[in-house]
Amino acid sequence: MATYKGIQGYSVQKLATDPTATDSVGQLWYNSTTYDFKISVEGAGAWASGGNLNTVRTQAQGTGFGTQTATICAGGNTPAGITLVTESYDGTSWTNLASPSNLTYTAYTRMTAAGGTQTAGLVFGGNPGVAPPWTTNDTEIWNGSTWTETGDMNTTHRLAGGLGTSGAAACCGGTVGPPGNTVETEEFNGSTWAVIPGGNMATSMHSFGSWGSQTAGIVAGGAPGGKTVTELYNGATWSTSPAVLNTGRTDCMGFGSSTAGILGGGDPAPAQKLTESFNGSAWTEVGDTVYSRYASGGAGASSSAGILMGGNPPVGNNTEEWNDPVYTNKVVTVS
Amino acid sequence: MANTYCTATNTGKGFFTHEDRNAFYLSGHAGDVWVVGNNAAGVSWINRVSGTAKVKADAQAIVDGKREEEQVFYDAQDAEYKAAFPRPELYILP
Repeated sequence: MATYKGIQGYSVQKLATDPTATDSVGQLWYNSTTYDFKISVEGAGAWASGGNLNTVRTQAQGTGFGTQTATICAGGNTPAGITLVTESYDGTSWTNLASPSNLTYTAYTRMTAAGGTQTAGLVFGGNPGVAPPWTTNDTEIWNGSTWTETGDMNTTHRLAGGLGTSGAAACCGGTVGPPGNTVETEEFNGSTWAVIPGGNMATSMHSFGSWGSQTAGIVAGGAPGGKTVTELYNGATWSTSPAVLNTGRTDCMGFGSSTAGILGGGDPAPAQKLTESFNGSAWTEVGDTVYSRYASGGAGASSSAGILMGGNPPVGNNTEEWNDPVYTNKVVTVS
Repeated sequence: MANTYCTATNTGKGFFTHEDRNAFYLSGHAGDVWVVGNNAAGVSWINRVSGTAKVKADAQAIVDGKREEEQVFYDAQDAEYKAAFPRPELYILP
């Protein structure tokens, strides 16, 4: 008769406490405290609660960049008005950074961020206040401790798409008013923006999800109307993907790459909780967010780990963390 | 009964885990109202987060009140804001 040791090469361990599920996938052990045999199994991707922001941030699109465990959130709206405060996340809790780390511009909401890292980020465009012109071309670059104004975009963009890093970014689409959208793409080289000839998006829209690099970017969803469209950018031109979202949406957030991404939330309902995963050729519905979430900030370098932060009510200062797969320790039952 | 209801304050990291999400239905709403799958894992979660049990009608009333506050806020905003975001609607808890 085959034995566990014969198959695995080692005996069943007796442990007083469970090992971490991530480190013990496929293993069987005996928990001598609970008198259970246990295994670690791989499950479907899911959202979990992340640390709460110190500040409630609504209209938080473009406030976040970095990774799930090393994130920056700056700008957005609060009950007291637009905030310039920057917060830093370590995967567990958010810390308000001191005032030299505040955004420098008058005010920002509904802006756009490139991917970036916790020590090198970029935000651009957005709504500079509560009165016209409602749209700005301002750009600020983050070095890990302070924001510095750098070259302005050639055109104002609000509720636009952001790709790349602080040294090689792209801004696409969005609104130039109201009224009116732009389909134009501009690229940033670390100091100045240039309009890309022939780089117009196929779809005139705003409030879509965007992520990826300056030479391999993706946008999905968008307004008006709650679009299902997906477009891909190669650093020079946009092409419309045959892949369409299962549920149209606006004010949605995404992260990952142009071949492996996650798009979460958006409006109107029922999109507000629905999450879709992109594999480079098709979208698949995956686990819902726990809150109806739209106009949040988002960050994450891959489709296996990301974070959504803030957003319009009822979200407030809450964040959610996506992981795929999810590893869980389970009791073995024989009955 | 498929779902049960409670109020609980989201304390951040660990309040609900990936394992929770794969073990029972969970949905967060305005007013710290939670709709929780009515199974052993869901009931255990309510105890873990010190949730206060609510009957559905009471949970719905809390959510409705918060949504009506959001509607008042929305109606006071300018046209530019209203063009960017939808008006919050009342809805029925699952």
